[in-house]
Amino acid sequence: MRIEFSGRVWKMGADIDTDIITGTGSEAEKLVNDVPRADIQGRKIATFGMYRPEFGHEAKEGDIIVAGKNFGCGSSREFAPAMIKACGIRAIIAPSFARIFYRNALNNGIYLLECPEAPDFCEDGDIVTVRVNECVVAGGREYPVPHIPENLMNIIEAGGIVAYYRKRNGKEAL
Amino acid sequence: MGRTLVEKILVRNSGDEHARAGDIVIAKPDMYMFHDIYTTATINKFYDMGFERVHDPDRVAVILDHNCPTISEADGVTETDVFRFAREQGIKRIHLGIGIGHTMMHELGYADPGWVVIVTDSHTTTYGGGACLGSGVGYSDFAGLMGTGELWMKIPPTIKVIMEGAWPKGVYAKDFILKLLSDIKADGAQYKALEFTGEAARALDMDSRYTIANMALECGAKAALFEADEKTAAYFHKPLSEIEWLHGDEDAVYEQVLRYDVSALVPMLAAPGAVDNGRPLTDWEGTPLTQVVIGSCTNSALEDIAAAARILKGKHVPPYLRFYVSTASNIVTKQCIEKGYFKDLMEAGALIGAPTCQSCCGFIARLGDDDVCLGTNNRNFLGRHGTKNSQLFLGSAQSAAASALYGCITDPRKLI
Repeated sequence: MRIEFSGRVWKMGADIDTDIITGTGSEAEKLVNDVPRADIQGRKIATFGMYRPEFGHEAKEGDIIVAGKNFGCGSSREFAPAMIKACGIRAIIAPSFARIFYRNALNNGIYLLECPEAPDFCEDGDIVTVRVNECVVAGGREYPVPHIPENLMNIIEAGGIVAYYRKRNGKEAL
Repeated sequence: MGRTLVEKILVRNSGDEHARAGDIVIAKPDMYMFHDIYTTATINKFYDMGFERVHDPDRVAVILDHNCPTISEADGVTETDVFRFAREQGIKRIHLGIGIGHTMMHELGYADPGWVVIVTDSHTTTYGGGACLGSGVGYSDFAGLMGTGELWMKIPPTIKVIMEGAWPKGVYAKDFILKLLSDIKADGAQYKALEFTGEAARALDMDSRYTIANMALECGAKAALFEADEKTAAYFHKPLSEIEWLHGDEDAVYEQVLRYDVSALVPMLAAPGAVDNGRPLTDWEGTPLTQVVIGSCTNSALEDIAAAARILKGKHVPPYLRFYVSTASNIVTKQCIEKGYFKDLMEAGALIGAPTCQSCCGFIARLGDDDVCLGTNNRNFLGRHGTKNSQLFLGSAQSAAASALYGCITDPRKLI
């Protein structure tokens, strides 16, 4: 199953933690203070609210985050990748990912690509191409990426962890 | 070939006798807990996934510690809807407002030595203080676990941390873990297990072991394990013979071995904005503070509150200083009342709060641009506790109490 797509880059730094991702303390978060945390659509405007306040408004379907090491560290909150996904992000490219975030993001249908050269090979707004389990193409050069583990690819190919379990439980897709 | 402690626990739990670090096993966790940040999302996912019955309700625990009391108007349902779920599913281990989850888990016997325990929270590594493999997951993985009783886990490689020497006065578990974090950084143990051994590890009491295991998450560790010994046996009321298998083998393969001489340690603080940006407290000595907070699953056990009470008894913090103290649990609170620690702290100017997570995750005691705070919790990320310009230092309960007394960052060794 060859998965390839291109998207516009949001370039970010290293050690981006899940408080930064969910916009803790930001003006945008204050606006959705009384929206339940589990209401991802209702709260997604706060994504990266303290760090890149324009993200919640300007991120588009198909955009790609390219960041520094240890992306998604800190709290286990799955709201972080869920909000990123709800803002339209298809993939995140970084030298490394925090382990709870890694599982959560893949469970939520975001492709994660480990690439030591990220984020230096591109700038904000560039277009990069992702070939899942093969490489990232940036600035005309190809950068190889490791294979996502088989058991997680099964979940992605099923359509995400909810779809995966629905199938196992003999239920039709939602 | 011998096994590391994390290998032993996962091999025993999964029954996969040949598994080694790097292998994926199917764990059958002994206990799994979710809390009130995730009650709604977890229950929704469980039913979305097409599950009808929880696989083993006796292994599910619910501890409500973040949204009680409620902060926003949306919080009430996170506390009440889960009781309906628990009733429907026959889950009996549901607790509202008794203390911080990570403390309650080992106090209640939900995180015993040798167990695999999964929680919807990153600081689940805490239970490693009692040789229990605690690890955090998101609400989707957790819902799948509730439905099947199983969770895939990749056995991590282990960094062995040998702690030697004698603990100097004024230097404690929190200072050690802040030093370790400053050395190996926020990703230094990413996807790895930490295994703590050595005379200085054995010299620590259980509260201190839990402090270190708690913050080990902040370098990316999947698990942070102390060996089981007489203290572990006494705490859990188990014979040592039942738990002495919980140590790494001499001939196990470790990815890395770190050695620390604790007698060379000094009180440490993590600088605002980064947990791994630890430096000696003396680098900031004299920095004026507007707030001091003693609380959180990291440092609000009996020994932490007792130490603060000893430092502040008969004295008073500056009148302008906001000094908030909360314990880890109702059990600790009762002991603090009985032993007079609360009286001593109140008379010194402390405002005693409820045993919840709220000050740690920034739900209460938020900071403005001009605020400088010293807290005993485990994180100081941008935005988590206040505005972009606010400053939160992280340190031990002793450093916090000493600093509260003078209204500025103070070396606790001066007062011990």
